Amino acid sequence: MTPEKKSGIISLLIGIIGLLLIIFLSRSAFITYLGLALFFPFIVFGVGISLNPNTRRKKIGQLPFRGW
Amino acid sequence: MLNGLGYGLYAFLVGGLLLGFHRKVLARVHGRPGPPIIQYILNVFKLYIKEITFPITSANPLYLFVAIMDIMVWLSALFIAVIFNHSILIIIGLYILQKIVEHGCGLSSGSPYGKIGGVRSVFSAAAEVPLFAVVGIIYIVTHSLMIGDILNYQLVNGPLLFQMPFAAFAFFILLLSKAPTSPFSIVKDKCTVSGYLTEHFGTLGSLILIADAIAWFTLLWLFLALFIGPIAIFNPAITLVFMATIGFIISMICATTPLLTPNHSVSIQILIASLTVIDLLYRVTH
Repeated sequence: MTPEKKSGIISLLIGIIGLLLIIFLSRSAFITYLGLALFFPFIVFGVGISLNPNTRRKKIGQLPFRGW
Repeated sequence: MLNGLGYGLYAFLVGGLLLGFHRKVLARVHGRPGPPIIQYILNVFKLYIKEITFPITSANPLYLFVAIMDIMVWLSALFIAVIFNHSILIIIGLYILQKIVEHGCGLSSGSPYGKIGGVRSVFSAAAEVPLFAVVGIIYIVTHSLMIGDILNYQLVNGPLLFQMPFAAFAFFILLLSKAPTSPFSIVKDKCTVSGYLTEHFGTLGSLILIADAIAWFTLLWLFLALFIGPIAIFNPAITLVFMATIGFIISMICATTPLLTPNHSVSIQILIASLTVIDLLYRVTH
Protein backbone atom coordinates (compact mmCIF):
# COMPACT_ATOMS: atom_id res chain seq x y z
CA MET A 1 0.00 0.00 0.00
CA THR A 2 1.41 3.41 -0.94
CA PRO A 3 1.81 6.13 1.73
CA GLU A 4 -0.88 8.14 -0.06
CA LYS A 5 -3.47 5.36 0.23
CA LYS A 6 -2.52 4.81 3.87
CA SER A 7 -3.01 8.49 4.60
CA GLY A 8 -6.41 8.38 2.89
CA ILE A 9 -7.59 5.44 5.02
CA ILE A 10 -6.37 7.04 8.24
CA SER A 11 -8.02 10.31 7.28
CA LEU A 12 -11.31 8.54 6.53
CA LEU A 13 -11.19 6.78 9.91
CA ILE A 14 -10.49 10.03 11.76
CA GLY A 15 -13.36 11.74 9.95
CA ILE A 16 -15.91 8.96 10.53
CA ILE A 17 -15.00 8.43 14.19
CA GLY A 18 -14.99 12.18 14.81
CA LEU A 19 -18.39 12.68 13.21
CA LEU A 20 -19.89 9.75 15.13
CA LEU A 21 -18.55 11.18 18.39
CA ILE A 22 -20.06 14.55 17.57
CA ILE A 23 -23.42 13.02 16.65
CA PHE A 24 -23.69 10.98 19.85
CA LEU A 25 -22.03 13.28 22.38
CA SER A 26 -22.84 16.81 21.30
CA ARG A 27 -25.66 18.58 23.10
CA SER A 28 -25.53 21.91 21.33
CA ALA A 29 -26.08 22.90 17.71
CA PHE A 30 -23.00 25.16 17.77
CA ILE A 31 -20.69 22.30 18.82
CA THR A 32 -22.31 20.00 16.24
CA TYR A 33 -21.67 22.47 13.43
CA LEU A 34 -18.09 23.12 14.53
CA GLY A 35 -17.49 19.38 14.87
CA LEU A 36 -18.79 18.97 11.32
CA ALA A 37 -16.40 21.71 10.14
CA LEU A 38 -13.55 19.95 11.96
CA PHE A 39 -14.06 16.34 10.85
CA PHE A 40 -15.81 16.52 7.48
CA PRO A 41 -12.66 17.68 5.60
CA PHE A 42 -10.93 14.44 6.68
CA ILE A 43 -13.71 12.48 5.00
CA VAL A 44 -13.45 14.65 1.87
CA PHE A 45 -9.71 13.88 1.65
CA GLY A 46 -10.19 10.18 2.39
CA VAL A 47 -12.86 9.79 -0.30
CA GLY A 48 -10.70 11.71 -2.77
CA ILE A 49 -7.72 9.42 -2.18
CA SER A 50 -9.91 6.33 -2.58
CA LEU A 51 -11.00 7.68 -5.98
CA ASN A 52 -7.39 8.20 -7.09
CA PRO A 53 -6.24 5.75 -9.77
CA ASN A 54 -3.73 3.06 -8.70
CA THR A 55 -0.21 4.31 -9.13
CA ARG A 56 2.05 2.96 -11.83
CA ARG A 57 5.13 4.16 -9.99
CA LYS A 58 7.59 1.41 -9.23
CA LYS A 59 9.63 3.40 -6.75
CA ILE A 60 8.43 6.08 -4.35
CA GLY A 61 9.27 9.60 -5.55
CA GLN A 62 9.73 8.55 -9.18
CA LEU A 63 7.09 9.01 -11.83
CA PRO A 64 6.58 6.32 -14.51
CA PHE A 65 7.92 7.70 -17.77
CA ARG A 66 10.55 6.63 -20.27
CA GLY A 67 13.48 8.34 -18.54
CA TRP A 68 13.40 5.95 -15.61
CA MET B 1 -25.68 18.21 10.37
CA LEU B 2 -27.30 17.84 6.95
CA ASN B 3 -28.17 21.53 7.12
CA GLY B 4 -24.51 22.31 7.72
CA LEU B 5 -23.41 20.12 4.80
CA GLY B 6 -26.03 21.79 2.62
CA TYR B 7 -24.74 25.25 3.57
CA GLY B 8 -21.17 24.14 2.88
CA LEU B 9 -22.11 22.82 -0.54
CA TYR B 10 -24.09 25.99 -1.31
CA ALA B 11 -21.16 28.20 -0.28
CA PHE B 12 -18.74 26.13 -2.37
CA LEU B 13 -20.96 26.25 -5.49
CA VAL B 14 -21.76 29.97 -5.21
CA GLY B 15 -18.16 30.85 -4.31
CA GLY B 16 -16.91 28.74 -7.20
CA LEU B 17 -19.29 30.41 -9.65
CA LEU B 18 -18.29 33.87 -8.39
CA LEU B 19 -14.59 33.01 -8.83
CA GLY B 20 -15.37 31.71 -12.31
CA PHE B 21 -17.24 34.97 -13.01
CA HIS B 22 -14.19 36.87 -11.74
CA ARG B 23 -11.97 35.06 -14.22
CA LYS B 24 -14.46 35.64 -17.04
CA VAL B 25 -14.60 39.40 -16.39
CA LEU B 26 -10.79 39.53 -16.25
CA ALA B 27 -10.56 37.75 -19.61
CA ARG B 28 -13.15 39.95 -21.30
CA VAL B 29 -11.43 43.14 -20.14
CA HIS B 30 -8.21 41.73 -21.61
CA GLY B 31 -9.94 41.02 -24.93
CA ARG B 32 -10.04 37.25 -24.49
CA PRO B 33 -13.14 35.00 -24.42
CA GLY B 34 -12.08 33.42 -21.12
CA PRO B 35 -13.02 30.04 -19.68
CA PRO B 36 -16.66 29.14 -18.89
CA ILE B 37 -17.98 30.47 -15.58
CA ILE B 38 -18.19 26.93 -14.17
CA GLN B 39 -14.49 26.32 -14.94
CA TYR B 40 -13.48 26.76 -11.30
CA ILE B 41 -15.92 24.05 -10.20
CA LEU B 42 -14.84 21.79 -13.08
CA ASN B 43 -11.20 22.23 -11.99
CA VAL B 44 -12.11 21.16 -8.46
CA PHE B 45 -13.75 17.94 -9.66
CA LYS B 46 -10.98 17.22 -12.16
CA LEU B 47 -8.21 17.63 -9.58
CA TYR B 48 -10.14 15.72 -6.90
CA ILE B 49 -9.61 12.35 -8.59
CA LYS B 50 -6.06 12.96 -9.84
CA GLU B 51 -3.25 10.91 -8.37
CA ILE B 52 -1.15 12.63 -5.73
CA THR B 53 2.35 11.79 -4.64
CA PHE B 54 4.15 13.02 -1.57
CA PRO B 55 7.29 15.00 -2.51
CA ILE B 56 10.36 13.35 -1.07
CA THR B 57 11.21 16.59 0.79
CA SER B 58 7.72 17.06 2.25
CA ALA B 59 7.10 17.20 5.98
CA ASN B 60 4.26 14.75 6.53
CA PRO B 61 1.70 14.87 8.18
CA LEU B 62 1.85 18.70 8.02
CA TYR B 63 1.90 18.56 4.21
CA LEU B 64 -1.50 16.81 4.27
CA PHE B 65 -2.97 18.48 7.31
CA VAL B 66 -2.67 22.08 6.07
CA ALA B 67 -4.85 21.35 3.06
CA ILE B 68 -7.46 19.69 5.29
CA MET B 69 -7.15 22.57 7.78
CA ASP B 70 -7.93 25.06 5.00
CA ILE B 71 -11.43 23.59 4.63
CA MET B 72 -11.82 23.35 8.43
CA VAL B 73 -11.05 27.05 8.84
CA TRP B 74 -13.45 28.31 6.20
CA LEU B 75 -16.28 25.90 7.02
CA SER B 76 -16.03 27.10 10.63
CA ALA B 77 -16.06 30.74 9.50
CA LEU B 78 -19.08 30.02 7.28
CA PHE B 79 -21.05 28.41 10.11
CA ILE B 80 -20.06 31.01 12.74
CA ALA B 81 -20.81 34.01 10.51
CA VAL B 82 -23.64 32.95 8.23
CA ILE B 83 -25.59 30.44 10.33
CA PHE B 84 -25.02 31.60 13.91
CA ASN B 85 -24.29 35.32 13.28
CA HIS B 86 -21.73 35.02 16.05
CA SER B 87 -18.78 37.20 17.03
CA ILE B 88 -16.55 38.93 14.45
CA LEU B 89 -13.55 38.28 16.72
CA ILE B 90 -13.81 34.55 16.06
CA ILE B 91 -13.82 35.33 12.34
CA ILE B 92 -10.61 37.35 12.78
CA GLY B 93 -9.05 34.41 14.61
CA LEU B 94 -10.02 32.08 11.78
CA TYR B 95 -8.65 34.54 9.21
CA ILE B 96 -5.33 34.45 11.04
CA LEU B 97 -5.45 30.63 10.96
CA GLN B 98 -5.71 30.95 7.17
CA LYS B 99 -2.30 32.65 7.25
CA ILE B 100 -0.95 29.59 9.05
CA VAL B 101 -2.46 27.42 6.30
CA GLU B 102 -0.82 29.48 3.52
CA HIS B 103 2.51 29.51 5.31
CA GLY B 104 2.26 25.82 6.17
CA CYS B 105 1.33 24.84 2.61
CA GLY B 106 4.34 26.65 1.25
CA LEU B 107 6.90 25.40 3.72
CA SER B 108 5.69 21.84 4.29
CA SER B 109 6.50 20.64 0.77
CA GLY B 110 10.21 21.49 0.89
CA SER B 111 9.99 23.14 -2.53
CA PRO B 112 11.68 26.54 -3.03
CA TYR B 113 8.67 27.79 -5.04
CA GLY B 114 6.29 26.94 -2.25
CA LYS B 115 8.70 28.50 0.23
CA ILE B 116 8.54 31.87 -1.56
CA GLY B 117 4.76 31.75 -1.54
CA GLY B 118 4.70 30.77 2.12
CA VAL B 119 7.05 33.56 3.16
CA ARG B 120 5.14 36.14 1.11
CA SER B 121 1.90 35.04 2.75
CA VAL B 122 3.40 36.28 6.01
CA PHE B 123 4.13 39.66 4.35
CA SER B 124 0.57 39.80 3.11
CA ALA B 125 -0.64 39.62 6.70
CA ALA B 126 -0.37 43.40 6.43
CA ALA B 127 -3.77 43.21 4.71
CA GLU B 128 -5.31 41.93 7.92
CA VAL B 129 -4.02 44.72 10.13
CA PRO B 130 -6.85 47.08 9.05
CA LEU B 131 -9.31 44.37 10.07
CA PHE B 132 -8.59 44.93 13.76
CA ALA B 133 -9.16 48.67 13.43
CA VAL B 134 -12.34 48.07 11.40
CA VAL B 135 -13.69 45.79 14.13
CA GLY B 136 -12.82 48.45 16.72
CA ILE B 137 -14.71 51.11 14.76
CA ILE B 138 -17.72 48.81 14.38
CA TYR B 139 -17.71 48.21 18.14
CA ILE B 140 -17.58 51.94 18.93
CA VAL B 141 -20.57 52.64 16.69
CA THR B 142 -22.75 49.56 17.37
CA HIS B 143 -21.49 48.60 20.90
CA SER B 144 -21.37 44.95 19.91
CA LEU B 145 -19.14 42.49 18.07
CA MET B 146 -21.93 39.98 17.43
CA ILE B 147 -22.98 39.91 13.79
CA GLY B 148 -26.62 39.50 14.81
CA ASP B 149 -26.52 42.70 16.89
CA ILE B 150 -24.76 44.60 14.09
CA LEU B 151 -27.51 43.51 11.68
CA ASN B 152 -30.20 44.66 14.12
CA TYR B 153 -28.39 47.99 14.53
CA GLN B 154 -28.44 48.49 10.76
CA LEU B 155 -32.14 47.60 10.64
CA VAL B 156 -32.80 50.66 12.81
CA ASN B 157 -30.00 53.06 11.82
CA GLY B 158 -29.30 52.16 8.20
CA PRO B 159 -26.20 50.65 6.55
CA LEU B 160 -22.86 51.15 8.28
CA LEU B 161 -21.34 51.84 4.85
CA PHE B 162 -22.52 55.46 5.14
CA GLN B 163 -21.58 55.86 8.81
CA MET B 164 -18.04 54.50 8.49
CA PRO B 165 -17.07 54.68 4.80
CA PHE B 166 -13.34 54.45 5.47
CA ALA B 167 -13.75 51.29 7.55
CA ALA B 168 -15.81 49.81 4.70
CA PHE B 169 -13.04 50.80 2.28
CA ALA B 170 -10.43 49.10 4.49
CA PHE B 171 -12.51 45.91 4.57
CA PHE B 172 -12.95 46.17 0.80
CA ILE B 173 -9.15 46.28 0.43
CA LEU B 174 -9.02 43.10 2.51
CA LEU B 175 -11.49 41.49 0.08
CA LEU B 176 -9.42 42.75 -2.84
CA SER B 177 -6.24 41.26 -1.38
CA LYS B 178 -7.99 37.89 -1.12
CA ALA B 179 -9.14 37.96 -4.77
CA PRO B 180 -7.15 35.99 -7.34
CA THR B 181 -4.75 38.09 -9.49
CA SER B 182 -5.39 41.22 -7.41
CA PRO B 183 -2.69 43.92 -7.22
CA PHE B 184 -2.04 42.81 -3.61
CA SER B 185 -1.78 39.14 -4.54
CA ILE B 186 1.94 38.80 -3.80
CA VAL B 187 1.55 35.21 -2.60
CA LYS B 188 0.84 33.78 -6.03
CA ASP B 189 1.45 34.99 -9.56
CA LYS B 190 -1.17 34.96 -12.30
CA CYS B 191 -0.68 31.29 -13.21
CA THR B 192 -3.00 28.57 -12.00
CA VAL B 193 -0.16 26.69 -10.29
CA SER B 194 2.05 29.06 -8.32
CA GLY B 195 3.11 30.22 -4.89
CA TYR B 196 2.23 28.04 -1.95
CA LEU B 197 -0.04 25.88 -4.16
CA THR B 198 2.85 24.68 -6.34
CA GLU B 199 3.41 21.37 -4.56
CA HIS B 200 -0.18 20.76 -3.46
CA PHE B 201 -1.65 19.13 -6.55
CA GLY B 202 -4.32 16.55 -7.29
CA THR B 203 -6.68 15.84 -4.40
CA LEU B 204 -4.84 18.23 -2.07
CA GLY B 205 -5.03 21.04 -4.64
CA SER B 206 -8.73 20.34 -5.01
CA LEU B 207 -9.21 20.65 -1.22
CA ILE B 208 -7.51 24.06 -1.25
CA LEU B 209 -9.69 25.20 -4.16
CA ILE B 210 -12.82 24.07 -2.26
CA ALA B 211 -11.68 26.07 0.76
CA ASP B 212 -10.94 29.15 -1.38
CA ALA B 213 -14.45 29.04 -2.88
CA ILE B 214 -16.06 28.81 0.58
CA ALA B 215 -13.74 31.61 1.78
CA TRP B 216 -14.75 33.89 -1.10
CA PHE B 217 -18.44 33.34 -0.35
CA THR B 218 -17.97 33.90 3.39
CA LEU B 219 -15.92 37.08 3.04
CA LEU B 220 -18.35 38.60 0.54
CA TRP B 221 -21.27 37.70 2.83
CA LEU B 222 -19.43 39.25 5.78
CA PHE B 223 -18.85 42.50 3.90
CA LEU B 224 -22.54 42.67 3.00
CA ALA B 225 -23.67 41.84 6.54
CA LEU B 226 -21.35 44.33 8.24
CA PHE B 227 -21.69 47.30 5.90
CA ILE B 228 -24.91 46.95 3.87
CA GLY B 229 -27.04 45.17 6.45
CA PRO B 230 -30.14 42.97 6.46
CA ILE B 231 -31.44 44.21 3.09
CA ALA B 232 -28.50 42.50 1.42
CA ILE B 233 -28.54 39.14 3.19
CA PHE B 234 -32.08 38.13 4.13
CA ASN B 235 -33.04 37.10 0.61
CA PRO B 236 -30.60 34.65 -1.09
CA ALA B 237 -31.37 36.04 -4.57
CA ILE B 238 -30.62 39.62 -3.49
CA THR B 239 -27.48 38.40 -1.69
CA LEU B 240 -26.30 36.82 -4.94
CA VAL B 241 -26.91 40.04 -6.84
CA PHE B 242 -24.95 42.07 -4.28
CA MET B 243 -22.13 39.50 -4.24
CA ALA B 244 -21.93 39.50 -8.04
CA THR B 245 -21.84 43.33 -8.05
CA ILE B 246 -19.03 43.53 -5.51
CA GLY B 247 -17.28 40.68 -7.32
CA PHE B 248 -17.58 42.61 -10.59
CA ILE B 249 -16.04 45.74 -9.06
CA ILE B 250 -13.18 43.66 -7.64
CA SER B 251 -12.70 41.94 -11.03
CA MET B 252 -12.50 45.30 -12.80
CA ILE B 253 -9.85 46.51 -10.36
CA CYS B 254 -7.87 43.26 -10.74
CA ALA B 255 -8.11 43.45 -14.55
CA THR B 256 -6.90 47.03 -14.83
CA THR B 257 -4.10 47.12 -12.24
CA PRO B 258 -0.67 45.50 -12.25
CA LEU B 259 0.62 43.14 -9.60
CA LEU B 260 2.44 45.23 -7.02
CA THR B 261 5.85 44.27 -5.70
CA PRO B 262 5.77 42.82 -2.17
CA ASN B 263 7.25 46.04 -0.76
CA HIS B 264 4.69 48.27 -2.46
CA SER B 265 1.82 45.95 -1.58
CA VAL B 266 2.75 45.90 2.10
CA SER B 267 3.42 49.67 2.14
CA ILE B 268 0.00 50.49 0.75
CA GLN B 269 -1.74 48.08 3.10
CA ILE B 270 0.12 49.47 6.12
CA LEU B 271 -0.84 52.99 5.00
CA ILE B 272 -4.51 52.00 4.86
CA ALA B 273 -4.16 50.29 8.25
CA SER B 274 -2.62 53.46 9.74
CA LEU B 275 -5.42 55.64 8.39
CA THR B 276 -8.00 53.19 9.77
CA VAL B 277 -6.34 53.29 13.18
CA ILE B 278 -6.39 57.11 13.06
CA ASP B 279 -10.12 56.93 12.26
CA LEU B 280 -10.60 54.59 15.22
CA LEU B 281 -8.67 56.87 17.60
CA TYR B 282 -10.64 59.87 16.40
CA ARG B 283 -13.92 58.10 17.13
CA VAL B 284 -12.70 56.99 20.54
CA THR B 285 -11.69 60.50 21.57
CA HIS B 286 -14.75 62.33 20.12
